[in-house]
Amino acid sequence: MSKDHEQDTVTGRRDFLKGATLTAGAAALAPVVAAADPAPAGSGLSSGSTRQMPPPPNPNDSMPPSEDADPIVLTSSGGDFMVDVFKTLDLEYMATMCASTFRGLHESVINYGDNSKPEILTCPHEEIAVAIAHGYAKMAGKPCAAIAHGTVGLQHASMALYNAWCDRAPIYMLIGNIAAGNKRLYDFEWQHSAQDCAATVRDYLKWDDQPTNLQSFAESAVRAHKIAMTPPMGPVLISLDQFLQEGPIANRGALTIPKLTQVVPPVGDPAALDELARMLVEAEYPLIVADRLSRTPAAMGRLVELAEALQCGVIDKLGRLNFPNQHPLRGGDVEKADLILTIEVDDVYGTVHILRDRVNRATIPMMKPGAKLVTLGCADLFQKSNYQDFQRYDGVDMAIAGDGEDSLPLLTELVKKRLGTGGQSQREARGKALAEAHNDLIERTKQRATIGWDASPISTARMCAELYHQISGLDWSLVGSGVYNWPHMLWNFDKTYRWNGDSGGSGIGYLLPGALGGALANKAHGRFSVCIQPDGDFNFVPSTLWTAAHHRIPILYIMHNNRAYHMEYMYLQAMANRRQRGIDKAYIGTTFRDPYIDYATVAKGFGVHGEGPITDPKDLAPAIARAVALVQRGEPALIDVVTDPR
Amino acid sequence: MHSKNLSWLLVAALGIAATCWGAAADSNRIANGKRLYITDGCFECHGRVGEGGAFNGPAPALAGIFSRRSSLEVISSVRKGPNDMPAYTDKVLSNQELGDILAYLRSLPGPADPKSIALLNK
Repeated sequence: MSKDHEQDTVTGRRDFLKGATLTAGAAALAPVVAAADPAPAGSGLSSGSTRQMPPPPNPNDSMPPSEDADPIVLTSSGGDFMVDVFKTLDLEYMATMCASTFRGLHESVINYGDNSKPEILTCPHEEIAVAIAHGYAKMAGKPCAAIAHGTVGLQHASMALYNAWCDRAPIYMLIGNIAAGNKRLYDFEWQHSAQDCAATVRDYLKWDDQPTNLQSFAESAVRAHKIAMTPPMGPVLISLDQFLQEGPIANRGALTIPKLTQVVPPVGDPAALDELARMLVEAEYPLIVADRLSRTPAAMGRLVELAEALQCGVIDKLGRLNFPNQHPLRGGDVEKADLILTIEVDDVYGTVHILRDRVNRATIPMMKPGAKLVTLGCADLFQKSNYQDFQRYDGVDMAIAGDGEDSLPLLTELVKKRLGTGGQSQREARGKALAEAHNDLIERTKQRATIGWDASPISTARMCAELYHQISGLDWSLVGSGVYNWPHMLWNFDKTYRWNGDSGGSGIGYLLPGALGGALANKAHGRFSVCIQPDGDFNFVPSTLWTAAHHRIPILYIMHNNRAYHMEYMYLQAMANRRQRGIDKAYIGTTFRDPYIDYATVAKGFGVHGEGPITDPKDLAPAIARAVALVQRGEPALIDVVTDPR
Repeated sequence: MHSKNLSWLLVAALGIAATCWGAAADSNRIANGKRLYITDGCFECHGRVGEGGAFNGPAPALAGIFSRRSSLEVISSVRKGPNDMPAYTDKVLSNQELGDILAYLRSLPGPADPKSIALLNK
């Protein structure tokens, strides 16, 4: 234990005595009452319990040494102050898998804080809690708190935190811990405590702290929010000592809550942006590639303005929705480009190379000789070493550090200054060719969608078309999808909230709760949330549906039920072919065949409207209509559609 | 393509053609081709009715493939596996079986006019 912590413990004991409500009578009666009262049923302390009573206090224990120093009630608690702090941070929700190490804060949130800002979201699993916070943060543009046991809970939450880290999404993670060993009770409190809880997830946190007093907590809580929201955004964690939450506040008037001031995101160096503007204007075929560019709804308009000024193509990698998918400039050819600008793209190497998944993993450059590559974004400002989400290194021609969204206005202004009137016809011709290619691609996509239109299992094209037909007149938002090509080609994604990105780290189990988080943020705006939900992901976290039902979060889940972990099915097939054996056995260990899973029944069990399995495409439209009506009334609904694989 | 490979493919193609075209591509062959197409995993990437799909990248639609590709090209793709497609050598898929799969693919209707489907014209 550090010296600071020792002092804090001593101070804490004094404060504990000062802040407690002690009456002589109560203090004197406490041990008598305790001895006379039978243990409540189910408490584990009844005579029939196998749990042993704790041993008598050790005289050398640092706890209050005598009974009359042991108060029975409190008039304040550290948890109350923590709630005061959270209310200054505009945290609307706290996604919670309840646990004893944060019972002090939990009680403060629901009673002292009146279960408002933050409001508890009851989650049946920590992975669900964090994934809800993840989806919410991207849609709402601000963090949602998630809270868990510091040990077993955080281990459950770990993969969801990793997804958020890879996805550059802010998560305000809170955990409970009992820091002082001499304050832990029986075996499980030792098992649920750690010297350094955050160690298990620190590789994918931006920052963490374990404050030892309330003033320190206030400062760390505000700092954590600021760090999480500073691009590149990411998860932060605060470990809350149980006794800091449960103990009284000695002097509330002495505690201060620092003001939260968000960092103004850095804009790229003006000289570098001017050089980039020159390169863009002079290029014959400039191409923009964007991934996690959109932090706010403003980003899309800014990117459109730049692309239209240049009449250049834009490839949207869809980490966020960055560019309208029906815009004639959406698209472009990496192999044709003489200048490629990536904005907030992590996988730059994979953007400009073909990587072959064969016996020898060949790498084929896509850029033509002499073409230039420029990166703009925040990824270079913050990286860690263990997990390899930073992707393969590429030797780019210019790397501009700065927030993509906030650098775009200056870049566009500099481009427009350089454009003048020269080269206008060339730009117009370029834009016209891109528009023709875009239209051609859409027509070919529609044509391909006709194949197997009436087939069973139902084609994903038919499922997506039937769905879009019924939601296109609503203010819809696709908060998650296991099917990309049909919606992103044939639907009209014209606002950033139409799409909420994916998991980021490809950790399965994100989509069902992540989509619910997006839907929760959409609820405040009256948007219609829909998720095309893969069955494999569903099976990690099905109890998410209970949270949807309990909190009346309107969302329509359309199951993309191909009855497999289909990507793995294909990988296994490729292995079998490569080794020239057993090519008809790849379903073993990769599919859900015997028995089939009835997702509608599962949904009903969690209190959610469920319909299906639907195998005849003619049954889709009426089922979707019924579910849409329910969701419009504020309820969640699920339709199980048995689909062809992709 | 090297001439040696081309010769090999031609021999294979002729063998497959003999098994496929020597007998009428009757419903039994189509049915067996469909069975093989499903059990041997073709459908995983290309869809049960050849509508196409995705593996590491897009997997082309196979319904109507013969309007765009010759039989030789299709056989070459199956045997050698372009891009990330796994190769189906004659050790795991005989010429007779491949011939049946091609018969199934020939039986699939190609894409229709999208204008004939109202939902695709919203």
